[in-house]
Amino acid sequence: MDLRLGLRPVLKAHRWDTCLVVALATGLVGFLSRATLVQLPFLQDTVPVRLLVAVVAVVVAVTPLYPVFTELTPSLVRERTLQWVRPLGTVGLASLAYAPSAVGVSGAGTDTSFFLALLCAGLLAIVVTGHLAWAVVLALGFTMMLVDSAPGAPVATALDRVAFGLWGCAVLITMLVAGVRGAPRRSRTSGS
Amino acid sequence: MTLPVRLWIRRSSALLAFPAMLVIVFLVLFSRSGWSWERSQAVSWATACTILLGPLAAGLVAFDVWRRQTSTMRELAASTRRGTAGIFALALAAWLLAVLAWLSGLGVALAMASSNGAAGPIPWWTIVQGLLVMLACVCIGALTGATLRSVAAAPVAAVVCYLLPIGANVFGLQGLMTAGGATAPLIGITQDRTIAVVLVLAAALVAALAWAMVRRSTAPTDAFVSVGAAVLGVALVGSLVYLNTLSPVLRTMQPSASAEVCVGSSPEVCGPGEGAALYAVAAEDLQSAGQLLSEDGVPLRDRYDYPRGDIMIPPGGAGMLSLSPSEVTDDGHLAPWDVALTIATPSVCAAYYGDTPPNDLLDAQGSLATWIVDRLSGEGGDSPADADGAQRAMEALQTCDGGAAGSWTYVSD
Repeated sequence: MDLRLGLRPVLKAHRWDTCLVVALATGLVGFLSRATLVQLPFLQDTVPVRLLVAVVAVVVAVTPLYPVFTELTPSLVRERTLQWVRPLGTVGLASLAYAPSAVGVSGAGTDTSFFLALLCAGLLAIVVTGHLAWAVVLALGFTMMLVDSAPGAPVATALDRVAFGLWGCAVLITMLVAGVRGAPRRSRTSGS
Repeated sequence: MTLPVRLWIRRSSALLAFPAMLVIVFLVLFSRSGWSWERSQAVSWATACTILLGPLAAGLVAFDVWRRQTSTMRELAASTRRGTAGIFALALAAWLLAVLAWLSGLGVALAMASSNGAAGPIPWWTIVQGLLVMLACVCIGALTGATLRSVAAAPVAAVVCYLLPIGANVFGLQGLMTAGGATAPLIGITQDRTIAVVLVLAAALVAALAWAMVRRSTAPTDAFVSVGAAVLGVALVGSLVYLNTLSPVLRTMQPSASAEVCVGSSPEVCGPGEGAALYAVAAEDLQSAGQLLSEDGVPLRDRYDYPRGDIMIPPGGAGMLSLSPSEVTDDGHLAPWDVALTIATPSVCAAYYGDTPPNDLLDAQGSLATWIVDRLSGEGGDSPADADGAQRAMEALQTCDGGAAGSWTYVSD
């Protein structure tokens, strides 16, 4: 494929190029702060920076799914194919940004479940809210961290009850949903 | 007046997010317990959600402003009577909705506190801080949307507002851009007024500075706005430097000036007025426990005090009240361990604050408290030898003479 006529415009139009750079930068920050803890407001205990990385990774990765051409989209020749490819790319991008902060780190299992839950929420949020998906991911991520600081760590307990395999299935299902439905093309949140 | 407000609220994305805001408010509010026994903690914890609502509102404003920044809209805005004030209207609409969501939670929290008979003044400073922190967030959102004309403006604004308090901590500016959030009782303690005033001022300056910069980036620059922005910037830096130089002691909670109240008669439970509802619960539980323990010859003090501030030496003859509001049961009783620890602290001995831990006193206190828990629950400790040992331990703890406790130790089965 001629990059100038095919892949490159697609990558640029859907912001893949920018998101890839930001995802790599997020991955680098995550890798360098694998063992770092951070004090979040109103939390008694410090939490791994990994959790913040997970939130940022998903927010960055869902960005290419936002509708770009809105009403024009159905008339685009490759749109049907790309609608299936985009969620796959999003999961890859999110993994690229998150994995360096968790791979090989003992005790990162719950944090990875947190990341996968956010990824599922992000993919579904794209289908439901389009351009406001970032708000769903950020609100859910930050709220989960605050609620989890309560005695008994309710969020971590709930996440740990779900096996990794099921999280994998959930990601697959939400990917399918995002692939079939895509982002809403005519909503009041569609960008210009 | 009402019509334009409704119009801008309908234009704001925050209207779509309003149900989510309500969910966040109540999820955070009910993620903890124990705050509904005193008004100051109820208000403080109900305000904790502003750490989430502020960044969310900031992101939504940035999103709306970014969406408006098309060339057509900019030209239209320049030719309208209101000009770029529409951006401020969008920010104000998101702020109003976020405040409405927060106040819903605050109203519920205060209603629950009232139903528990919670006392004490409403901490208006916390509410003012909450309002200004969220105003500063939406102004930062407007600035981000106006300057970073990209789809990334919204999440960037939200993340910046969330990370600001974390970054402030690094520079010794604890409390900047946050409001409330007390997870422990605020009985007998309060925020230092100087710190509160500086934090409120700093949030107001952040809001004003961000707004002045929005004006600079969206409208023809005039000298008044430029000079105003410079003055605000200098004032903000000055307030932050002043905050940084204040004594670390002031940043911790200070003893409050509330009147002391006493509840009950046998025993009497006293402390700073804002804890009156909990003293009533404690007095009732201690009276019941006293009746049972008197059969074993273990008497209670006539009075228990709750500390004001960090360290307390109650008047002679008074014990120290131990309270964990989050463990008060649904039917209004203290946690068994709090009752036991209160009874097992009949005197606040100077040795507790010494350089070396008074192991004999602490061992006696541990055994006595464990025995009391078992006796009150009817699950053990009913032998004459244990009753005798408990009497000696109580005498030792009252007189602060660890040696008088003897060799009695009690371990729960």
